[in-house]
Amino acid sequence: MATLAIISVATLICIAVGIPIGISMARSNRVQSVITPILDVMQTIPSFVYLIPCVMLLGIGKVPGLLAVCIYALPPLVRLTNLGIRLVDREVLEAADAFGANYRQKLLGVELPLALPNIFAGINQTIMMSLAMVVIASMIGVKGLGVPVLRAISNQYLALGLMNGLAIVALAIIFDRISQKFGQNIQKHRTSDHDF
Amino acid sequence: MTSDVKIEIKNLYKVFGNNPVAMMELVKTGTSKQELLDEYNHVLGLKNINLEISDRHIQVIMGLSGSGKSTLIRHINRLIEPTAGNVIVDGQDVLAMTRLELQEFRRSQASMVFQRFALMPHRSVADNVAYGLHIQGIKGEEAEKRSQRWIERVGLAGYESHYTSQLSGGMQQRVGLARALATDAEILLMDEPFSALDPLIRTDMQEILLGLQTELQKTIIFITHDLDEALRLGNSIVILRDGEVIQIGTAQQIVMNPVDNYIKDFIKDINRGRVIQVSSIMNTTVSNTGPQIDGDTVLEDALQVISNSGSGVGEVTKDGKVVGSVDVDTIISTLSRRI
Ligand SMILES: Nc1ncnc2c1ncn2[C@@H]1O[C@H](COP(=O)(O)OP(=O)(O)OP(=O)(O)O)[C@@H](O)[C@H]1O
Ligand SMILES: [Mg+2]
Repeated sequence: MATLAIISVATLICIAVGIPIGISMARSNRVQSVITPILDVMQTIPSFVYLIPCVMLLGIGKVPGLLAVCIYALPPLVRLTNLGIRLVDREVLEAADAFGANYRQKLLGVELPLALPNIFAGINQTIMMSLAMVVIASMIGVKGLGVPVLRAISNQYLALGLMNGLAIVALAIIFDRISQKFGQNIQKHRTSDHDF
Repeated sequence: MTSDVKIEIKNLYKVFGNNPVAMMELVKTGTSKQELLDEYNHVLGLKNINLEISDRHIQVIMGLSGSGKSTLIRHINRLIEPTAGNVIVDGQDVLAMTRLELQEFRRSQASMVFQRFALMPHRSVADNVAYGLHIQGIKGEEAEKRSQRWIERVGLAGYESHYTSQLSGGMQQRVGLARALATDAEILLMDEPFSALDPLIRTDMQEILLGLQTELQKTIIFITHDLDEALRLGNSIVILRDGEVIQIGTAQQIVMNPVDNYIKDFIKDINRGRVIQVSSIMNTTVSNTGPQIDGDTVLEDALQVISNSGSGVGEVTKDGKVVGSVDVDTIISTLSRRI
């Protein structure tokens, strides 16, 4: 349950932060060229490196754990949102312009709906990556499935580690399927070509 | 037909590149498109376009690929900003409009049909047709009722809830046409709307458009690179090359008096017997001996009528009154004249 909670919260934070950043990246090449290296750093830097200042500033507990998970899980969502919007057919956007759509109508009515498959792939990635971070986050006091895994590692309890590891995998699969199914459901037009 | 000017384009220039304004001097002093590209890395899109488009007419814009047709049509609703010049619609300067005024202009006065349809794949046919209305804030039943009328008019009844990817090209462009008509805009901008369609479907669509036009009397700007289509649809035709207007005129004027080899090239393959009308070649002496032929009759049909009647001449009429005559020899020499 604790694992579920932290992943849900982390995912929601990533969506709330990542999608707007992705949109602003898609809007301007300058923003894109600034943010891309930051994302690269976020993804490649070993998590321990930023866990230390996190813990130093915020102490041990859920908040720094959450922060660590978010830093690690955010980049794919930002990248895929950016990509999705940039891939939206220019002609369809031009049509929206030609019919007098304003900024908001273009974003909500055309760009986001058409970028949705990519955005969903991003959300899916975010969930998977935050699950992967659960074990590391448990080192700084986040409860959940990570804790027994960590204990198993330090004490070399093979069975315990395996059981909890598999539980994380199971959770990952469930999340994956749910989010993919949800993504498919809200874009029926892409799959309905066949039952015609 | 009235010939009030609906759209006026004056001294319009468009240069694409990093510093278009700096290129204006060069363009005005006659630097060619090629030179501008090779030496200054700017593309000459349009050069000194002057065009008056009559109210309720179909104005065809023709030219080879890259001649600036799409660029020109996009200046009318300002999807492209000119480098210099004026675009005036109904006495209103489109270039002086604020963002909101322009938005309103696009919503209510000018709608557009695109070469590759540009439909919204995530909306059903009905929602695509209602797109312009939704943008204007017209929702629900009102929007549905108004778009339904056009769905039926273009022959898509029964397909309302389909997605556009399930439709054939011809049907998709019907959706595009209905979407443009649903806003009741007086100006219809059509950028090669039928070029992506099979010849047979294209003819169907041309018929639909002509039918709609008799009924609706809109001002239509229609781009094509197909001369037959231009001759069939256009009340007036303008021919572009490398961003410049080469000739403006009716189909008859262009076929009878092409101004240069570029245009002669365009028209050399057409079937003159099915395009040229007797009024273009008649002489004004009235002889009153042969059958009466309306001035709009094409030569092929006229020849048939005259030879059936057994006389060598036909009397050309306009609005029922005899205005001239045409003899078989003239018709035959026109048909066989090499251009
Ligand atoms: N955004 C742009 N940037 C640079 N050059 C452009 C741009 N848009 C158009 N051009 C150039 O302007 C010229 C006219 O292009 P335009 O698209 O208007 O031609 P067209 O007559 O519509 O051709 P087609 O029949 O292929 O559609 C071309 O040389 C093209 O390369
Ligand atoms: Mg074009």
